Amino acid sequence: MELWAAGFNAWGQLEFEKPEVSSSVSDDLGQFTCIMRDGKICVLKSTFSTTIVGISDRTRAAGSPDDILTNLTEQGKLKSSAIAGNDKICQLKGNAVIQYSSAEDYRKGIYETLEDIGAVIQLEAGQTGFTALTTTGKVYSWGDERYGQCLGREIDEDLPASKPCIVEDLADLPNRIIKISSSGYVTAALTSANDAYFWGRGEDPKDLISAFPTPLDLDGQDILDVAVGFNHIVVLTTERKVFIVGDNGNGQLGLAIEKSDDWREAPLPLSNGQRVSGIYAGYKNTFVLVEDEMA
Amino acid sequence: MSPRSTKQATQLEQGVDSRPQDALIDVCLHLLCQPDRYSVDGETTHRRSSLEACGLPIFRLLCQVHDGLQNQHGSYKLLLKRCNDLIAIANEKFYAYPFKDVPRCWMNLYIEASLLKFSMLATQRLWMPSSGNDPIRPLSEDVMDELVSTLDMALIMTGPPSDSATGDGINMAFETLRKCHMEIEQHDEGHTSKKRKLNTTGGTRIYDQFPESTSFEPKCLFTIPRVQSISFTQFERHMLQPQSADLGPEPLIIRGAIGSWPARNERAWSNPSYLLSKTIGGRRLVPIETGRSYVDEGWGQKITTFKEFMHKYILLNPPPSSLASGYLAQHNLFAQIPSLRLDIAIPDYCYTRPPPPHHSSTLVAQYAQLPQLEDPLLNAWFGPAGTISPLHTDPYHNFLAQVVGKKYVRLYAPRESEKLYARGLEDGGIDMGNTSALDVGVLAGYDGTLEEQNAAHEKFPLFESAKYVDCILEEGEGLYIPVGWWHYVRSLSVSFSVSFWFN
Repeated sequence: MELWAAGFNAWGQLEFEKPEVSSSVSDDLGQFTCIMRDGKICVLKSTFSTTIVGISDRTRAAGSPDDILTNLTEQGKLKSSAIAGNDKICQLKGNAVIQYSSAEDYRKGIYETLEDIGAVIQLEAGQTGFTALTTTGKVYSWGDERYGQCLGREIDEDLPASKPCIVEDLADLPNRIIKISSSGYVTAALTSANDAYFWGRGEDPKDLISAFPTPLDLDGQDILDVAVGFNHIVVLTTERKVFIVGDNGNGQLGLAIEKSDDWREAPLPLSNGQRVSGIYAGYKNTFVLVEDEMA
Repeated sequence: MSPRSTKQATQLEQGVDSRPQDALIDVCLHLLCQPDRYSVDGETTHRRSSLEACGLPIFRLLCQVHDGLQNQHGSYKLLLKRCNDLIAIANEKFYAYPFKDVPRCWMNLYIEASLLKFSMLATQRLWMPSSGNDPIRPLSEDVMDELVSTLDMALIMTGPPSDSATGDGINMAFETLRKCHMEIEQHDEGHTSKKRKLNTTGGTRIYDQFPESTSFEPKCLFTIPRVQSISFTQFERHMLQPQSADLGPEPLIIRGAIGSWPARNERAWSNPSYLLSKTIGGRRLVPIETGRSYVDEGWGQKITTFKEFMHKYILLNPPPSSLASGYLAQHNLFAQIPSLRLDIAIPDYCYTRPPPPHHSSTLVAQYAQLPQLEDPLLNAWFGPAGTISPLHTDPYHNFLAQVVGKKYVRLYAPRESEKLYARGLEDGGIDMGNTSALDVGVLAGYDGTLEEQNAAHEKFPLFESAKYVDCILEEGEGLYIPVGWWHYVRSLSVSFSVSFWFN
């Protein structure tokens, strides 16, 4: 397997071979480049300064993790935790979701247990809120009322922004939600029928995002995977094509343009017999997993 | 030759060493981004620990860029990009938190990264391979624009720096930039004047006065009394021993209060070119209000260059007949540009001991809680004809100095409050209790259609019986507005006023 990446690399988070203490500042990757090979690779977490991947027998980190991320890694709680841009941290604890109201509270171990929403299989954070996917395929959201659009649901006295409430529009779909992805002010959900829904604050990319879940129509193509970055979005179609849109200030689209308001196919110079098996979006970078077609 | 131009000529003859660009590099490397800026001990400890609160990855990157700058080591382009990345990260945090909760460390990161970016831009020449005796060219217009906007954005986003050394360094940087700007102007006069004259944007047109106004002028029916001058003691008596105890101190126009200000004389603010030169060729950024008035739909605030504000809203000739849509309002321009502060003086009246808000004011309890100000609060109000401040009250006594142009001002005593339909808590929990729901322009028949005027009277029947006083505040006059008095202000020409709040 290969891990390809493009975009923000200020802390060397795309360079797994770089010595941890280096005096030189790393440049971004302006085009998709193979950064790692291993029998098995999955991206566990990518923050603004670090990438942590799981390979065959262990985890590996690139870049510069802060104390919170180091702590979560040591405790094996990377996948079960989500850190929002406003410093709040949510974590799965048994069947409950707990919330630390700041990094300081996390260090002190002060948290509150949120309302029971059933067993959660995925927890994602944006800049000011959280999204959870339950084992029954239900999506819940909560966060800062000022950015109500990011919750994808109604907000009123009975459905306060600050408490986990169901994203109603996704509850009645004929097919269940199997994955969610969130970053910045946008969240995505993927259904078992290969449809992708997006909601959030539609500043960048423009006109693609509204305050309630809206299905993506990419010329009718079926979607295999979705990944939301800070101001960019990546999707993988069942035809194994990668499409990208949004900000490209750090080369996260792998293109030589400032940004793209329209979906474009990502330029991936793969060899014969290689195909894309998964995607992941970091803060301002993009990861693509490549496998041999025979595998 | 005037003394000023003699001095400039001498500086140029002295050669490279005294050039403003070199002075600017010195300011950057020794005052804004000095070698020991983030060192572990001494006075910098506090700065360092406050930045470490952003997390070690961020602090280390900041230090790497700082080292690169000090030693001109590494890729110029990459280091500059990292400055922008750090500014972006800080900026993203500003929006992630409610404004009052933004951790101080992100404010500090925004400032530090901005100082680094500024210094990178200013020292770009040092990165270039030395080209021997080639003459050093002035900074380009684009670089000048970016230098000024980088520092001004930092000031606007994070407020004045808390440590005075940084504040002094920034002021020094702006002063040096102003000299760089003058150098560019001279360079242009000598070399490329033809090219610039062809420029149709009017960038080099000299404006020595503002366009004349043809704005509609309300008739004053209950004129505020005027005095030519009044002593400190007399003024205090005016406030403390009002003619009517039921009314409290009353408004008063003092005609000669600001006659000696440089802004009214040799450094005349009525000269647009002077204001442009004070703002580094109009490059300084200012917050302006757009839209008719702050209670209207579609009202907004934006940050723009002083130059753009002047060309887009002020220097229009002929001036548009409708109400204005751009207003530099309630901005402490004098903290931002200290040299403009030297063009005015705080009137002695602001240091009198004024009475508390009159008991008839509905906001008396709220206003009484405000701490005593050590010095008056200064604000600039600069805009075209037709700017409107809707009917409202302020929590301080106000001395409103009319430096340029004229304004219609209508005042209602606190005891009229019941007839003025104060607004209350509004969406988002914003308290608008100091602002009236009345559109005085429509109710008084200055604005709107007859239908709109009738509808407004029907909706606000008590307005008709509210007693008021009014005036056309002429250029050079000062108006005392007692605390708690409701005021509606409307500019009748291009107008530049300064308000002094005191208590």
